Amino acid sequence: MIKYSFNLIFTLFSILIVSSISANSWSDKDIQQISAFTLKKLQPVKDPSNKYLLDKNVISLGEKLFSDTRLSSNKKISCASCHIKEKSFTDNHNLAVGLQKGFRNTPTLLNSAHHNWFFADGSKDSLWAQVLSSIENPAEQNFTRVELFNLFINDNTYKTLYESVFKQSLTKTSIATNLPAKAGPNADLQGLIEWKKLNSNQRDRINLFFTNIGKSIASYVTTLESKESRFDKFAYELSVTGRSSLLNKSEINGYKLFIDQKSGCSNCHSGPLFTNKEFHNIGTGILAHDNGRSEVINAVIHDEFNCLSKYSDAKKEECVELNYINRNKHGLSGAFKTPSLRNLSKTAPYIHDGRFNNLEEVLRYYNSIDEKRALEVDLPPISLTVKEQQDIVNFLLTL
Amino acid sequence: MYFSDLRTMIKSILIFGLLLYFQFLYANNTASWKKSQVSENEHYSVDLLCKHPPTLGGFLPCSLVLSDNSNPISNAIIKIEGGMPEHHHGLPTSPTISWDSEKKAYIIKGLKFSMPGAWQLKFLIEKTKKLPRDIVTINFVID
Repeated sequence: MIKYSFNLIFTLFSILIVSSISANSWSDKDIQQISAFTLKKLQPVKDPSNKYLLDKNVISLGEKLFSDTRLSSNKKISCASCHIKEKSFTDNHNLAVGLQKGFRNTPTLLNSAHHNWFFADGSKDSLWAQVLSSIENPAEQNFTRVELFNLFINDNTYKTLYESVFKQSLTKTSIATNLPAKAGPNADLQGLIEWKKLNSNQRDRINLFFTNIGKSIASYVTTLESKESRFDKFAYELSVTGRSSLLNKSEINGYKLFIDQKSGCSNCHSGPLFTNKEFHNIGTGILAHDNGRSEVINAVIHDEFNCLSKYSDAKKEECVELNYINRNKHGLSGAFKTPSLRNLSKTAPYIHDGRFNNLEEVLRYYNSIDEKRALEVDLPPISLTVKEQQDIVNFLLTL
Repeated sequence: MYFSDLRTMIKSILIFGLLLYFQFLYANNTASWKKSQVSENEHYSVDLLCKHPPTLGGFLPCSLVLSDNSNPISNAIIKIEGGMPEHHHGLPTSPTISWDSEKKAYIIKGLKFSMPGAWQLKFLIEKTKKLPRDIVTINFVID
């Protein structure tokens, strides 16, 4: 008798749960809207500035280089030191720590190749230019392009791989008879003096080698894509059967709030990666310290390795983002690139400088935007209850 | 047999193919989104023609036809601006606008929109010896 009563209660309870889930009925328009956020809608990566993007041998070389700590001045730091595979290619530190402590949070590399601009301020217009910047940055790997060249001519595996994929011979004397051990435009004073001693032709050949290395690592990073999340599976079930219980009531409410103007989240966090890939001022820039996009517009226009440079494989008309770059410095003051919201459960801390340790803190910040503050930033006034904020957080953790 | 002879059949196929070709040409030369507006001081009227309705993401090729009492005006100096007034930000790119003598229109390149909501495009027609200064504002919404 007790057993039957228990079964009856369990059945009634199940019916209650199922009915509460199916209370979330979805129209065709809803399902279509949800579907627009799924990975299935993600377009393949295109980078006309890197003709080696899909070359398997180049990708293989890039993968080796990604984890090689010899590409740093103390031989202890590689790309993989901060972009840790087990941590969704981040490091979970507030601020990145390379050879020195940086001033930005390490972004995930998953899906990163889908962006148009790289680094939180978009100071590079291709993944390969970003890679080269990190290799030479004194706070990251602090390596020079000439040290990298010397490493390759002294390492038979790298030398052979490079020569076979780029069809260029690498020898000790192919650039100069007495090539210095260390030289580059971003090196310390001695390294800079040595760089200036090389003639323009020698520097150009080193740069060509250097950009090929950047393109190799970028081609490997392009292969790093996130897997389908619980949200994607939920969306798929919905599209096939019209219902799904893969998201709970709080997560569904979070989704509904996410796309509603009450939160305004999806205004910028749109598309399969939950980013419009553009720059917005949400009030987190710090004047005279790190004020985002406005500080790097000229730098990216004049970058020696940008899409319009001689080291790019793109035709001028293919560099559309750079050709029509927003030059309005005033309008972009304090603006940073909208980050993707994919894999958020593994990529804490958050925001470009890692100031928020968890998503609850992020939501509390957005909720602090009142009528007055909204006039100063690209956000509307936001007023969400604590429960609504938690629902959005719960939804974000399904991505 | 429907076709009395082979010649009639070939003729029919050729005519049908030609019709299809003209339809294709027409479709490719016709903008599928158009907005017309009179300037603030009513000096001009403009037709903004775009390849498709404004959407998020990619670049939108558009052209502008400027006229004065139905007379098309060429070689005006026009500047383009825009943005989302409610969100206090401008366009995400710096689009260009220039006169194309072959197409008899001002070609707009580099136009892009980053957020859903109410957008505004402003065209400033500069004062010259022949033309008065005026502004045209075009409002539209992206879902």
